[in-house]
Amino acid sequence: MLLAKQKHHAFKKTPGQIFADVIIYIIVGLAGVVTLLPMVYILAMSLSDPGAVLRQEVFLIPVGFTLDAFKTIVQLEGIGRAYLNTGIYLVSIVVLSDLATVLAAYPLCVRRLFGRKFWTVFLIIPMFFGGGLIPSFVLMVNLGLYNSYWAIIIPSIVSLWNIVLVRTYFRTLPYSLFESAYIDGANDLQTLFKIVVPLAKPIVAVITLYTAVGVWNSWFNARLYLADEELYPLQYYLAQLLVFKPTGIEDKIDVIDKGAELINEYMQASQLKYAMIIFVTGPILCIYPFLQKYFIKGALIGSLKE
Amino acid sequence: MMLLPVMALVFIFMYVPMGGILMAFQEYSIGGPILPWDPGVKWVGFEHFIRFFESEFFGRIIWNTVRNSLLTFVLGFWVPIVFALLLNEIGNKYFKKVVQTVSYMPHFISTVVVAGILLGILDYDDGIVNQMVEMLGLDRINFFNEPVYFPFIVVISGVWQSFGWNSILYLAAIAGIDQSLYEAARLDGASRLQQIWHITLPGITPTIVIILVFALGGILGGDMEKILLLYNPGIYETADIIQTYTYREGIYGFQYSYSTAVSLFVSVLNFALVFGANKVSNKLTDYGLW
Repeated sequence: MLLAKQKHHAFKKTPGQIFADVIIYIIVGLAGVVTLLPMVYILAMSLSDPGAVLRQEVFLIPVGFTLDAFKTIVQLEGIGRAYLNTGIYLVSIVVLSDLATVLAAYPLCVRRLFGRKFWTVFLIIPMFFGGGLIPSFVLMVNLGLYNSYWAIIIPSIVSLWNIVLVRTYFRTLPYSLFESAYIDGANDLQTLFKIVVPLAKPIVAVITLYTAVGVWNSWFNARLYLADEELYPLQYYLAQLLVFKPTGIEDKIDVIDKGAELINEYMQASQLKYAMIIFVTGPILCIYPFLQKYFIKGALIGSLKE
Repeated sequence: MMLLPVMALVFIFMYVPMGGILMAFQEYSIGGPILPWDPGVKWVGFEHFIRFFESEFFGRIIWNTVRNSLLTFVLGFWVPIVFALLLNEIGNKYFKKVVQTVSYMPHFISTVVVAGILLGILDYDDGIVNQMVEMLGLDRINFFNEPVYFPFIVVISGVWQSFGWNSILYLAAIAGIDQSLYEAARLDGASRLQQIWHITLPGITPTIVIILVFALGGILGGDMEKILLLYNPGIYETADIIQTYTYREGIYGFQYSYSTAVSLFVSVLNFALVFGANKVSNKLTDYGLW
């Protein structure tokens, strides 16, 4: 108590200021709580006893803690496939996209490139003007890529925003790096991958994370370009269960369970949706706090551009 | 040489669809001719545009789109600013860090999950919101079947998703303010409110202006993905925006040409807005996209 008092004296805070402090802490704390509430509610629902969920007894703390909903979910028909598909999309898009980004950003920083201005403008125009949804869709159909893994992967490889971001970063490196290696006899690919990219690791980390989260969360391209359930990524699988075919979840529950506890299942249906949400969002929510600084860095560099 | 693969991709997947805009002036069907010199092309001039202007959808979807943007502005534009100002007043480092991390969370959640959460908590029978409404002695609300609520659901959840993340730019701007200004002000006996009003706010005004201008430039944009997941034919009247309309007409109605015409009209309008916004921004703040 005494210590606390002394501290306040050290900062010369009047009672009015302390009061203001308290108010500020409360408002900011409330903002945090409000942001968190929906997720806590969903989590509590997914971990509760199905009966308690049905009787609407659950609010923010699980009632009759059980992992049953999650046990049912991992057995849902097609969910493993969807997780695997998202994995395939994630790895291939991240690798190809990172590669394409540095490959495009590097030449734009090399002064001896012929027509550098032209290429830059060539890349910037589509950032502001595009053909729109339908011409892209028609193109995909005409190329015969509709309903294939490529329909999801190819359109996501080039991110103009990432190219601009990486180019901006490359430009902060001393230009002599680009030239001296070249003069020493290294070709452009060697210069890029042996010298420039290792120095640009932070920005590569930023675009990798952005791409990965983007792929993990995307569903619309799947709606547009995929017809075959076998190819669905996780988010679109989830969208089917939550939104497009909300009663479909009962069909996907394993046949063995079905005979035994049909009624119980029905009770679980809405709870299963909550558990699905946690199951799909969990990985990202667990990871992002640790990688936050990279995401913030990306947001700030992106806004500065030039 | 290194540029070639990327440029080829950009050409095929970004420039070719731009050429596809030609179909707005044709009667196109999948697999049919589209190239201007192909004699098989059926040209219809501005017919699709005229049909759109004369339809009831013209006013409706544009108004819905603009209304959502305006609502987002009124309900959401100030939130990250106030949040950043308040965060800045917090002395406890850990508390600040935790709240910041929490406030970024919704930014990382997918649209599908946000839609799932909204459908869950606003459900007529077992949604938590309706349970509370009932506890207050009021009638349950059918949130997704009454047109009045839809814009608010979309906009408020949008504010929830973005306010923390959007505060990053303001916090960065605040961090860039010269600390000696505050010391000088304190010596002159300025209160905290006065310091915020006379130092912090003017310090972040350029940032505010830029974001404001570009928000105006994006007034014809909308959260298509979320709306597609949440709306239903019963509430198209208030829910349908330009992007959802063109998507539906094009992909499900097979009206490729008509739909392209509508989105071409809107993107020309939009381009003009962004262009104007950029001009204004350059003038006001010396900052712009080009």
